[in-house]
Amino acid sequence: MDMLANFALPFMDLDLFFLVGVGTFAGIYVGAIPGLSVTMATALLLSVTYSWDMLDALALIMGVYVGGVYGGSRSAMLLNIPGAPASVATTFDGYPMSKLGEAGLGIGLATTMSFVGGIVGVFFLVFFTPLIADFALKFDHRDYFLLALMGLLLIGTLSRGGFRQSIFIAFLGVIIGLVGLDPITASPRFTFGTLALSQGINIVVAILGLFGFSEVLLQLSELRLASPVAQVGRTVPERKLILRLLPLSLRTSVIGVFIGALPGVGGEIAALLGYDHAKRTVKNPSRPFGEGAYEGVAAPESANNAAIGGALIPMLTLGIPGDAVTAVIIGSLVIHGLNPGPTLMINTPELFYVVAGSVLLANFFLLVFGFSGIQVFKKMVSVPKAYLLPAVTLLTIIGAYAINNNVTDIFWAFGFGIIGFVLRLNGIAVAPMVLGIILGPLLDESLRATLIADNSQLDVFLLGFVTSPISLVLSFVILMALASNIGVFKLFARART
Amino acid sequence: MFVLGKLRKISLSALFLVTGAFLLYSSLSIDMKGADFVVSPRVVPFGLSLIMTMIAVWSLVLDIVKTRVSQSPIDIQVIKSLLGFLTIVFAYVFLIRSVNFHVLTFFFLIAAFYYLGARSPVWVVGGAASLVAAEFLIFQYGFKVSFP
Amino acid sequence: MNFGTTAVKGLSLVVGALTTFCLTTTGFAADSYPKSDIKAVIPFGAGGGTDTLARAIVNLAEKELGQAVIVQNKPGATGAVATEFVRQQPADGYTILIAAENQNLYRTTGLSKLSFDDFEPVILLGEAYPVVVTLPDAKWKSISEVLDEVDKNPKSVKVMNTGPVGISGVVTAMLGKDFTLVPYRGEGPGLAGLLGGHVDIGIVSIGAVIQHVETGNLKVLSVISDKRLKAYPDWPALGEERPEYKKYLPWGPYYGVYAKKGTPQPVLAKLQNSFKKAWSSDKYQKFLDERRIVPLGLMGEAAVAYQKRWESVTTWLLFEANAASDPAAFGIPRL
Repeated sequence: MDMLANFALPFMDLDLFFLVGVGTFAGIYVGAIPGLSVTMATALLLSVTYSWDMLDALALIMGVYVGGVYGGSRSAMLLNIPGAPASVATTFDGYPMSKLGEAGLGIGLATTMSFVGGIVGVFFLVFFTPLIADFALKFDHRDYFLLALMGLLLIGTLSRGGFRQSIFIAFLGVIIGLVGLDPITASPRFTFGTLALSQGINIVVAILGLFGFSEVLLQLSELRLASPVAQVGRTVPERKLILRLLPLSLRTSVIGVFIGALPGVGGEIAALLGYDHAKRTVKNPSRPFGEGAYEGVAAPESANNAAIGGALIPMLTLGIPGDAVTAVIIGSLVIHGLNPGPTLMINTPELFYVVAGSVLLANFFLLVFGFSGIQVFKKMVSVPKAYLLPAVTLLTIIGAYAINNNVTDIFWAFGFGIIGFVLRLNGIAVAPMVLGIILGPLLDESLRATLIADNSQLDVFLLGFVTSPISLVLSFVILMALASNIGVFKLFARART
Repeated sequence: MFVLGKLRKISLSALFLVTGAFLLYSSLSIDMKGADFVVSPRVVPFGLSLIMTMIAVWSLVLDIVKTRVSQSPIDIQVIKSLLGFLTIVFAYVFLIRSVNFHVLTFFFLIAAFYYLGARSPVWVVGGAASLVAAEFLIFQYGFKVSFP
Repeated sequence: MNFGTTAVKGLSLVVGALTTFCLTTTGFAADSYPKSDIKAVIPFGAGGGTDTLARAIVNLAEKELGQAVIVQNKPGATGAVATEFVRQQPADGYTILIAAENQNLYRTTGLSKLSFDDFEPVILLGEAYPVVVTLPDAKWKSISEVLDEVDKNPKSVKVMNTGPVGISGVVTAMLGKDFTLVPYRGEGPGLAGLLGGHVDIGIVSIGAVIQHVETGNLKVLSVISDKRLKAYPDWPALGEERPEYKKYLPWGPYYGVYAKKGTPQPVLAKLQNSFKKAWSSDKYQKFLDERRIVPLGLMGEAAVAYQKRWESVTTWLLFEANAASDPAAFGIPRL
């Protein structure tokens, strides 16, 4: 069969096989270095692969894409700096795991579960493309708003050192996310008349500061410059553990596919919602969430890798990018003389299967490379602090600069670092702020767009939540979560005393 | 040196209050461009900063009324070492535009390693050089980042 | 661990790093341009319309220039960030801007004090025609029916909108009716909203929707032009159906390559020659055709005149629709 032959092509053709492998390997390291993003890498490859054969270029890009999304988990676990926004959720339990001396197992777990997510993504890509494309189109502004609300419910999950403070921090994050020109009216918000602020505050800069630089300052202030935790244990997770986490992983993978397919939202929100799902459904985690639960690593890692399969669906069938990387891939198709859109599948059906096959192959490479590098990586944790902290500082500085080639961004990263340091010194988690920065623009735009479409009529606005099936389901899920999470109110009570 | 735990809590809440109130005030100057308030660029920042201000006021009241007086230590040594490190880092970033980036980075790393107690000259110089080389290869050569 | 070898290794790394830095910072003599890489700044994200157009021409132009042209995306504030960045660079032709029409609207919309007056056009690549599209089962058969409907029930027709001064913003201002402009985060999500039936009509450039029209996912109600397009004679033109709009037409977004004002004449000439050759190549013309972009190829005086007309028509339109401030304050004449 033609279809199957194309699907297997990346496995058979030596060139493609090699390119997917190289791409995956490079992607893992690009993803692991904060400040280098998969989007940057694919944009760069766009120029490099200009004169290449289309399929060769695509194979390389798919490898980088899969490797890069996974690679972000490395630095998230080892340094508490997410390599990319999609790995923010991995820091919640991944870094505590490293601190407990389980860095190796953590990376092993992330690798296995990313693989699971990747496979689920390919499965949906190959078998359920029309269904998911249709779902993505049915998603209206109101549903995006509900999605953002769902994400914000995570504040309850992530709060540490007082629920009130966490809400405050999360809302501050939302406002930070809104700094710049309003995308709807171009009205400047919190820019204080400066051009530097009118382009908004880059989320990666904020993450580098809040996680990276504040971690450096915190470790400095603990004066524990020597004696990192001794390394114990294995890197390959036991079969029993994998089997126990598999049902959760599969569920969050499906969440990842659907979220990934939505135009405009990508792996970062998929991973957050995956983590939220784990937190809600797993009653007896291996350790409490936030203290190194295996579930807390498995869930977001499956979700963000599954989101790749999802994001490719609207790109290949409609020419609509599901996230920033697929937007660049569309650009590369165009430059190679193809016309992404609904006719892509009709004119060049082989392309679809080669892409799907490449993603599948990249996931196998990921499993191989992911496990092979662990021994070296886990030593990173035991590098003496006197060397590690300046190196991480340098990484923060270069990373912040590299995003937009802008020195001002370095100062922003420092500013966020100091904010993060003060908060964490007082026992307040910074994660809610990052949550706010990620979800803020989505929340603001989708709420206002819904109201604009309803002509600012409150009755129409409210009625919409029950008349559209997707909105109804999402509203129901949120209400259920709130009801089951009376814990939120308990936290309120605890914070009082 | 010791600082009252209660004072520390109160000052944090006060900082929150100032932040919230400032954002609330700033949100009122967002140009609505003639849109209805509910769909204007002002609605979300205004709503959130209002809640933030209220939370901060509430926290402040609770801190003043309920928190027991306790003591939490502040180690002067820690503050010194933090400020020293920050000085090195800021000096580095302030010089970034005027001195060649790679050379500056090299000396920054040596200074920072040394400041944090690394003494083996081989490791200090070697570490700094290999980080600069990695930076050059990955960022400048690989990713075409043009440093200042 | 043998410290001797480590030291040698370390030293060789230092020497290596220092040599490479020396090599990379060697200055360029000013006699023959270009001596080193040229940076092309794109004010929008990678993968977008302007980006693909820019990358395709850059790849052809660097062969003519004999130096690599490195593309750098600097999105933000509808391109104002990148525009400001290029203006701050020396006027030596080593940093160029590849942009769309937005800069013409910065001053009256208050986005920035800059405009294309601060730049020298190298070449205008092409222009796109907007079309009004809707779902195939929509009740309207023509643009007139839509306009009548809005006259009868203001705000009843939802239009997909991707930005305050985007195509739909300007065209609805031109039409002067009370549409509901539903905002979207970009052309992709907007197209999804249109296909999903969350908005009634979309006003977008032909290239963005042509495949959906060809496959029957969308139908064209009207092309925003004074007369029908040669390639698509079946699509009614707005000017033909509603002559009252003729004075604004044809109108559409365009794309161009720019150097900072004050770039030396020989440098500018070299850029113009190289880009003109790249633009004229069969490969680029085919590329433009596939994107349904009408080639312009204007340079020098002709390019400036084209921009001046565009700026005047659009800023005055937006001013009358209360979407921008008075163009007269910036010395923009009314045509």
